[in-house]
Amino acid sequence: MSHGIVTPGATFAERSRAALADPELQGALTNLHRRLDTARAVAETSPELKDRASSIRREVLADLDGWLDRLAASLERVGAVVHRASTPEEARSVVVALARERGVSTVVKSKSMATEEIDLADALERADIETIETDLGEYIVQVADERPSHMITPAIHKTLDTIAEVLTTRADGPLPTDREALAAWTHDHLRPAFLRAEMGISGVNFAAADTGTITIVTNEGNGRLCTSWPRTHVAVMPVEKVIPRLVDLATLLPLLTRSATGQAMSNYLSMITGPRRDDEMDGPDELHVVFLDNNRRALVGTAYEDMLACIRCGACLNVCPVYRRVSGHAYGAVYSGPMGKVLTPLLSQGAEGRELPHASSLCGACTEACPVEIPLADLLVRLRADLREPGVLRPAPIATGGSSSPESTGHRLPGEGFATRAAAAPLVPQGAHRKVGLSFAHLSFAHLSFAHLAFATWSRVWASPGGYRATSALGRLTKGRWARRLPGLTGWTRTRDLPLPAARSFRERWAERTNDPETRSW
Amino acid sequence: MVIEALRAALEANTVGVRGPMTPAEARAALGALDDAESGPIAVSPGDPLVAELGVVEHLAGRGADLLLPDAPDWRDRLPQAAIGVTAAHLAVADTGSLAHICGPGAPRAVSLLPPVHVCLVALETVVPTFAEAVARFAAEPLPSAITWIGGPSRTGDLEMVTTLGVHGPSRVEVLLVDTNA
Repeated sequence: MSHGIVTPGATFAERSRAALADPELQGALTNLHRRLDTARAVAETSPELKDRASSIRREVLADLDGWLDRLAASLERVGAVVHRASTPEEARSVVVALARERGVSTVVKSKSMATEEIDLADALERADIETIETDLGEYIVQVADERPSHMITPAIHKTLDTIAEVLTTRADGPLPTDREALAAWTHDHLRPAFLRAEMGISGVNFAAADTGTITIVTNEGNGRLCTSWPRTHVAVMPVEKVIPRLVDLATLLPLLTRSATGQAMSNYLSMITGPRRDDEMDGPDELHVVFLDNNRRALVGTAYEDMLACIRCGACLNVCPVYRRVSGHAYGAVYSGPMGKVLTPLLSQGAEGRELPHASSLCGACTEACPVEIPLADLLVRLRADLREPGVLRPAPIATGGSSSPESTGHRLPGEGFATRAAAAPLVPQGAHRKVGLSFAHLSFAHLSFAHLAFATWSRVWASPGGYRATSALGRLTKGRWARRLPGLTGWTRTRDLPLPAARSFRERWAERTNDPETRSW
Repeated sequence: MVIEALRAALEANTVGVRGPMTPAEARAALGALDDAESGPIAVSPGDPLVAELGVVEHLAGRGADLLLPDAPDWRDRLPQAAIGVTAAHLAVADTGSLAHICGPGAPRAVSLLPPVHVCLVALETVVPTFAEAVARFAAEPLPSAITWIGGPSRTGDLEMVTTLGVHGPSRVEVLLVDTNA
């Protein structure tokens, strides 16, 4: 990709170290506390609303191709043109061709992760078509020749001082470090681009299959301008954005905006059903909708299907202890944070982001924050296992068919399910422990790394009370020194603290207390 | 109740809310606008309440610099307009949203390009929830666009502090109209 990534380094670990040592970035990241209210908004959202939203998203995934066909028919009925692109290359050439055929010299874009994913702005620029990002954060990032570091707030990594410096490079004189003044300058500076652009490009938040209505949410109004004034509107839609019915928006939109920014509703909402009609003074003459697959449809029916339920709210980024320290650029990918760690290797079929599933403490905050109940921590664990095998990642379909519950998505991996409420709620019966302990038996030993073997052995030993007592006694006797010297664990403990065993175990103290007549009563 | 909920939601989004007022008071309030502003007043005459209140006739009678969608140079002049006047088809109390149906005589950009947007809301068009508003629209033939407006244009991209007036109007005024008064 041609965008500069501000945090240098070839690996996540290197980029993270650079991010942690960057005082400007660390200063800017303190502003993320303002988005913690979104986590609260999600937490306070009624479980019924989340369940309803989750079931709408799973209804789509149960028949994704069918809903896409119905959507395409509805879009064509209202006068839109549908293009289907299997790859980013195909999507780029569709849009570049549309622009060239119409002699477009200027394109205005509203913020869209899908167009970032296919690097559309660069493709248009290479075709000598001026392409202007109009979301303020996205514009700042474009002027700085960087990439968004947060899907809702693209320039979260920049302080106001830096933003003023960046925008000054496009201004007649130095811009003040004043929010209102910068917003007003952006208004005046970008307005002529909106008025002269012959094409507007947007993403799609949701597309209703029954009516062919595409919905776009923005706060600034740039999305409205891009879809109202230029003569041609091109909407790039990842295939999973389809929803069955227009009325489903009543559930999904409030949930999206609460989870994204804590707002009851986004400031602007456009529900677009086809191009301008006869006698309308504005609205585009043509509406083109590009369905983008990019390996998404191959995930339907696999253990990773849940990831396609994502509504791109960014709530998992805001609560992630890793994201909150290193920000988006450390991930080296378009999608960052917990959802990016899952989506990047899946969309690239293992070509990109193979290390990302490991950039997690598996604390499960993302799973808790997700308004559509995607078991992100479980998917990370599963990816770690599946990416052990080198080469192309092609998840196999599961026999049980599409389902949202981790229990039914094929076999269970050791440790999987611990971060989800559904799995954590009931105490696991004894038989299940045994199953976890033996579950490495059906894995191919040829691909077992030392670490996996060690964890599998540990899991098996600690599944029995005797094994647990013996090893923990050994740990106390040696004060944990043996563990820190084991080959393989020295690397593991470089970035983690291995807790030292207590001098006396809980079991020993419990036994003492229950033998003491004064404390026996409890 | 539902009117007060709408008022509270809009005011929380930095929308100025006046009324409920009579149709005559609403016309007078609109007439006072052209005293304060310089530049054309763009009106969306296709909106039912704008027609019902006779907004175009009233402003034309006062000699205001009106810009209507049937003007041949409408596209060239709208970017210079000082005020955009529209009426909401539905106003939603729980989200504080003003829903505008776009169509002939009711362009999308009247509420978008001018720096000030004045929106008329008839009391009987206020609905309690977003879900009810969506269900009502879904039950009828859909226009090419429904625009939902919460307040002045805003951004959170400057250190996540809400800042008003980026691409759309920096000021939104709602006039609540009791059409039975």
